[in-house]
Amino acid sequence: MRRPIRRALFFTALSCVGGVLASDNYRGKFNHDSVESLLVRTLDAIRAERLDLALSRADTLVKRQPDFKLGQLVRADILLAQNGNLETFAGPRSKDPRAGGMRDEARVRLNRYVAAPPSDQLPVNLVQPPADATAILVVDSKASRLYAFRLQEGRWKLAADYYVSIGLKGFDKLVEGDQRTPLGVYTPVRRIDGKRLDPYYGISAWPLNYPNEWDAQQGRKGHGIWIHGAPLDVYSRPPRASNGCVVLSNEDLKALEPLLVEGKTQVLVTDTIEWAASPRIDSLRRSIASALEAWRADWSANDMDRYLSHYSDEFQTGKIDLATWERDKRRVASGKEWVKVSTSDVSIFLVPGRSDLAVVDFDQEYASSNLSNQMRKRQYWQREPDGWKILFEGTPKTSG
Amino acid sequence: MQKGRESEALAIFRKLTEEDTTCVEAWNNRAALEASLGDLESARISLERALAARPEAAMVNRNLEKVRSRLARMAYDSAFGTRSKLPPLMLDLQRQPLAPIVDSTASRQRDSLAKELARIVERNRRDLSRKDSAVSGLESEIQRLRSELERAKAEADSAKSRLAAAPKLDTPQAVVAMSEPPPRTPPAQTVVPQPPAAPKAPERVAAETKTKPVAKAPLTADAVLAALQNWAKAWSDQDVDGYLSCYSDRFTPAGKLDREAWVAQRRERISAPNSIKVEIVGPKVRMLKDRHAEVVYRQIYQTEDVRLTSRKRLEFAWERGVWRIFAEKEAR
Repeated sequence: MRRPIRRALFFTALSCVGGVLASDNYRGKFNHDSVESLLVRTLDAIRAERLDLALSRADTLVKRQPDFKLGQLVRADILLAQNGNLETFAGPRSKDPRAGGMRDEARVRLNRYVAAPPSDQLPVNLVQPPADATAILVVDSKASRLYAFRLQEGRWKLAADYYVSIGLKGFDKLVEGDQRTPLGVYTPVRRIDGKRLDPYYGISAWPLNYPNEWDAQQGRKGHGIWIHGAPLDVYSRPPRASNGCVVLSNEDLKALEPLLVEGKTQVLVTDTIEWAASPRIDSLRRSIASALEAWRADWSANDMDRYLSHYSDEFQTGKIDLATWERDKRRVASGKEWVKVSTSDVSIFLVPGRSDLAVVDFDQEYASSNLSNQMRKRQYWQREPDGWKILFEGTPKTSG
Repeated sequence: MQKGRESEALAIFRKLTEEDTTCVEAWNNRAALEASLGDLESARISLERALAARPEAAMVNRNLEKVRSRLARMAYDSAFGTRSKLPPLMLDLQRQPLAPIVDSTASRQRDSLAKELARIVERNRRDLSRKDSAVSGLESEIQRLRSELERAKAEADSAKSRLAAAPKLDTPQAVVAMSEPPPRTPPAQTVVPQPPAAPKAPERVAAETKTKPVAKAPLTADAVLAALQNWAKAWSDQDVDGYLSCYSDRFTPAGKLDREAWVAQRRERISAPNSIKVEIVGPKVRMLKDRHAEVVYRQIYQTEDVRLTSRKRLEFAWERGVWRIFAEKEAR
């Protein structure tokens, strides 16, 4: 009688996970009062087959957060297991379609502690954050996790991370209504207070600038991709639940809000985070920065052949093709006696889901014999066999 | 039961479990009351306390299983946002006190016998100074008690050595077998002590109820009823000594308390309320063999803040010229 019970609970706790809770350095930041920590420690006690301990932790958990549905379910499972009556996750309710969502939530939440994020590495995407940035957010869609990085004593460090729900159908949004979360580099364009929202969206909502210039270039459609809170009467939602939005518990969103700055905070939505040590990120930065510098120098030299060699054969800008655009550029350049271009405030991110594509933002100061201007410029550089090439350029879109 | 009555009963069982934290049946019944009042979390904790004292208690295990199933159902409802229709949870009540663990029944008996003897000797000494006529009878009573004490001592010692050798038993049969006193001859009529100065010392009325013999036809149902009324009166009067003297030396308290602890507990409980009223309703006497008798009745116990009605069964034994309570049980 006892064996199948244990197996069932074991499955609840550790399906697809295995192994022991990681004792990585980062676990030092484990907040023992948090809802998630209580859940994970409950599951850990189940794994150790200490049902009494598991139940007392589950009791604390549901007392702390009665509207945490997964917590209630795990507690019910433990009670039935103590009676020797549990056959599977969610016991008599296992056929309920919502049980699967809660099991997924248990799995991803637990996974966070089994495979803890490395303390000495950063997502490879963070090649060179903007000089004035103090926080960068990175969403790992597969892990249902939002990581908040902060600049601490001159170094970027993981400061906190939160469970998130993403699109019901996953990620890589393409069209309106596909219930997917877009992958890319975004920024919140404004804050909508919960008072002006349906309670379904929690304490606040932060619309993102999807589709951005690159999405539009790719023909990606849709709108209304937000970061927002869980419904006010529910602690959390399953990992795949939204129409494409990134959803946090209201408690977590409240903690995150100080890092969200309208039109400024970069939010990278990735399919999965590739963690990299600093030497690798440094060398990426050097190679992209030197390509950018070569492009600037060639332009300043008004050397059109060399300048145009920095552009990819696949380069597109709006509806104009490469040949037309080249002709234009050469005609403009021929009318100038001198050109001076300088760049500053450069930021570089690898585009999520594309290890061969970087989005580079900078302030461009352009002066020439007959025209001067200043602008914030955004370029997409693609790694090609003969080096980094410009695939797209324009001004960053910061509105929704 | 109505809510109010349940709360009252719960207060009593709470007190019982506070006084004896290992009393399995009290914890079980406390849990049953908590459950019927809808406090399943407390019921679960109470049942776990009961199991801590006696892990194999079958009724407690059954009840705990019921409580867990119900709690699980409620938790699933919370998890899935459903609302099951659930009637109040009724748990099994422990009506029979569980068998006390055999420890020192015999030595307990010896100790209380010794106390009783000392008390009688002391009282009689005072009486003797005024009434020489009673001397011979009392001396023979003292003699008899002395020899009984010696017998009990011997028995206690042999029981102790047997207990030391044997593993602990906890079935009621074992208790009976181990604590059965040696067969004793019922006291002859001539040995019955006369009440010393019975009607003439009003300041001593309470004390006299203790040993007041039933003068006429002592071995009749009427005499048993009179003893029962004496007992109820002493209780109502909050006369603890009088009350305690209504009990046989061989009386073994139910539950896990030994005699001494039981006496202390009774002393406290009887003196604590501002007033007590014990009413005996519809007593039915049945004479048993070996000068034992059984009374079944309805008991109404009332204090300023509690009123309890219960079916009771008392077994009396003819002892030293008085019917004394030999065993006390809830009747089904």
